[in-house]
Amino acid sequence: MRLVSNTVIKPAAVVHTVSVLLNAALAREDLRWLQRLADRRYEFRLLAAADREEPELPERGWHDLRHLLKASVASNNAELRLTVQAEGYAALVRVANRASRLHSLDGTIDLRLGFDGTGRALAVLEDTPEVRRALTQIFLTLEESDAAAPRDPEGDS
Amino acid sequence: MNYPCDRFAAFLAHCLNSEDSALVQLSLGEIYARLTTALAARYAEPLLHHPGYAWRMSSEEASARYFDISLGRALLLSPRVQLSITHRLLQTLCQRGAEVVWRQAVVVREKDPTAETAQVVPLGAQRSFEQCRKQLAKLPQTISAGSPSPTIRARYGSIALRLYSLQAPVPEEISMWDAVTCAPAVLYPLSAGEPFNRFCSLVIDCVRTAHRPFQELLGLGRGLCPFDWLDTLSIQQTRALRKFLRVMEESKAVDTLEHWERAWQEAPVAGFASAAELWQSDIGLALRQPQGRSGIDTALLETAHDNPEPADYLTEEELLSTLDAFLARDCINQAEHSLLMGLHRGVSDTELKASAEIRAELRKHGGSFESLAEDLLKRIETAATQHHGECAS
Repeated sequence: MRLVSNTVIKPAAVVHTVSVLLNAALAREDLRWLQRLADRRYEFRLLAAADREEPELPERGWHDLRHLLKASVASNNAELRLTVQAEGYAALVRVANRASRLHSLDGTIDLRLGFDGTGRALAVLEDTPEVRRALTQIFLTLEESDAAAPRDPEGDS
Repeated sequence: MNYPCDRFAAFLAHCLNSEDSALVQLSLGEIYARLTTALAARYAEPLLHHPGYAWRMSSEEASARYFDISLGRALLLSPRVQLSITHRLLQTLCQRGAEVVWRQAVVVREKDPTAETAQVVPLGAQRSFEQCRKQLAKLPQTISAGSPSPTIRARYGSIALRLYSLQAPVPEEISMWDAVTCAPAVLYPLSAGEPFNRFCSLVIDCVRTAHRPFQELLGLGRGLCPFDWLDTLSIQQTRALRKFLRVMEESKAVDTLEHWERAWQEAPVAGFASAAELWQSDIGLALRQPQGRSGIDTALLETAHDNPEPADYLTEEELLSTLDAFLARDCINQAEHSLLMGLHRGVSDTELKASAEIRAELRKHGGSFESLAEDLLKRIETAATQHHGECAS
């Protein structure tokens, strides 16, 4: 069958246009997915002081970028006890009794962490320079619960 | 062909827009965080091919580094054009400035700048222009070796952002991220449909260009971490290496110096005197590592750099007549026709999904829009190529 007469088709432009349309729609789904992910992801980042080459772990603890969780470390017998505590009611309802994954930017730390009913989670790490460095940028992602599970965009359609 | 970076580019275009707000505040930190998080969490496999070198770095590190070497990479000017695609992006973003007068902003080459003083620029726009000028002044003025910029500049003048009498110098080589950071901080939003899609088309062209060196290195496969070799291998060397490795693959030869010497006869690699030298080099050693052999769709990668010319975004009339033609030929069905025209016109997802025929089409693809999109794009490409071939013959 021939194409409808008088239709001049520019192959590259047709493919490009359709690709734009479909990818814009897919990316819109990605944006929604990311929003749901952002709601359960917390990033802790420490910066070096002006007179230091590398950041140091603050004794009083430090907050995630949204100031909902507070991390603190205590050193004891070659171990670092990392505590993550929900700060305030809004944070507590998000994390209480939820499981999470804690990992560092460089991949040195990658473990599961469970929050108790008071919004507190504890991890015991090796006290090494590598782990201390890794703690300067860590991510805590709550695992999906049945009630608040962000659906994958592919399954949304 | 669906380029792997198009979806990420469309994501970036959405980040630079907001269909629900009266104005778009470009919050750079937030956009950066969104992009790197999306790269690490959503695009690590399809775009960064992170599983191939997960042994080397985390997806978060890969996303931050990818940002630097693609969106943060100042693009070299092509000898065929006066302005790069990132200059076009800067102009488009400036023309979206919140004050109406920004519509007249242009990024141009000017040999003898003549101030157009007749038009008074409102104070608000003057202030936002001053911000842009300051940001532009912070950018490096570096011109890469071998760039045609000096010749083009001598002939047509230097590049400037101009808004009537206001003028700010623009470097010859700027990155996508430079274009975003030097644009007015408050933009007017683009409505869903053609206005946004045209902008998205431009961003896709930009990202395809910015992505290319990374894509070339990924094309080597073998589990190489692209970030390790970007500063070591030139584009020419990478392409030569890909030819060399293709010869090896086609002959199904295992990695021995003897087989490399045989492949070398057919495809020598620039920068190395012999197969033995390549074998002993750092890159030779890395290519022979057993953790390599990740499966990357090389056909897709080849297309991505063999067709670097930006394509046009069709007008509504052109798109409609093309889709009508494809429908008449049974290349697409009525539901797909409606879906594409709906997306072009900015019909919301909810409205599209309310259509029984589109829902039925989605069910055929297991409810996955991604699967439907992939299949549809393939058929459109085949139909367009066939039609082009028929017309040519």
